[in-house]
Amino acid sequence: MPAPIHLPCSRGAMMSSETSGVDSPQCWSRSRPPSPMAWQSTEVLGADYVGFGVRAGLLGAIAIGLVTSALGGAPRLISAPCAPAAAVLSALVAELATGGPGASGPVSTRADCRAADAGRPARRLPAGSLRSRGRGRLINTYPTRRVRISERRGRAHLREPGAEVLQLAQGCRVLVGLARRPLAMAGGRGRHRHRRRRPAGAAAHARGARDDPGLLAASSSISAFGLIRPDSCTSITTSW
Amino acid sequence: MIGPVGGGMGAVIAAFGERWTAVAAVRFADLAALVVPALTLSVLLSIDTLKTCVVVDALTRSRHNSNRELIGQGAGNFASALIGGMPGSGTMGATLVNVNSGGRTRLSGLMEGVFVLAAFVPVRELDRMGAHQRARRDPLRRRLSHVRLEHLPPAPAAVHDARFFA
Repeated sequence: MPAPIHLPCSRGAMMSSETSGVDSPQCWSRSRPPSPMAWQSTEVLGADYVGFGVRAGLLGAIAIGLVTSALGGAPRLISAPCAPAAAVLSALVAELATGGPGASGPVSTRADCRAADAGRPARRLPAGSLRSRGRGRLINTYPTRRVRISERRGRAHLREPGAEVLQLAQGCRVLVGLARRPLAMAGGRGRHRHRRRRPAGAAAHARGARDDPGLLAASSSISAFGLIRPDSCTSITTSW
Repeated sequence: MIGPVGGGMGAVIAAFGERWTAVAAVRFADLAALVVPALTLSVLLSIDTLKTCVVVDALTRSRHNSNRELIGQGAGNFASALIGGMPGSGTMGATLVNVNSGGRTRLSGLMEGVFVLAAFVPVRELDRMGAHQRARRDPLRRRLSHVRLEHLPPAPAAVHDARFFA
């Protein structure tokens, strides 16, 4: 039984996560941002937290630039937030977010799913897409973000950066996957290795697992909704 | 692409208040978890700063005061932590630009902080403009543009047994 996850959620948080409007966070990790904009430390938390990292970098540049220059002993030295500090903080944040030694209750959902999946015939990963069309009142109303999956080597892989996190930490507005129906579950052994199961009536995309409305995922800032099958493998207690 | 940053002097003051609230909520277990990263940061950033100082000394044929510089770095990082900023150290790139530009006194470093502060103030306005542009681009947002926040159904008080499919 995984530990309960407490996700702070408010209406303001819901809307703010949407207004962040991040399109492709993977692009940032490929490029090298300027060091004062040290969003690497918050990138591990998800796309919604990048703005906080930038703000922390700017505030650090203000404080260090003013105080260190006034008190320091090297007159020509320019001080500012730097990449080593961002790297150390990223490691700390990642550790806290994944329920490491310093975490006070976060849960790695993927690990939970793996553990709960052990007795099943096929390897399955929770994945899905939160769709805004025809899936209930809450989904129609709340802003949503789509999550895509792909299949590789017989296993479902989460494609979108926001979805690949799938780790719930206290205070983190990352994705909560809520599966309604099985979408594409490859795996197993022998001649059934790549067999897929599709939900009846689901509009299967050309590549199978993609863009299928069978699975639903909601950002934790959106909160859960009641479209969950009772025989799901992992139980997560959330509270707002 | 970044998301809301929230600039302005109000953000600085608000960050200061939030930081004190967070400090009051720190427990002993949290301190134990932060000891190793704090020591790592202190050693790493001190070495980084002193390395930059040695390079600057070699370039300018001068000599810096290491003790005073480390005290200044500590004070600066302490101030940065108080307002919710990132830790930092003496940066090589900016320092070399400063030296090449003819900077000789600590005024150049001081002005760096002043200019960042001056750039931080209008960030709020840029934020608003960016949010407006994003709202124009986002089709879902366009559809929801007529929905006000108070029209949304309330979030559930507690949802138990939210289950995953695996």
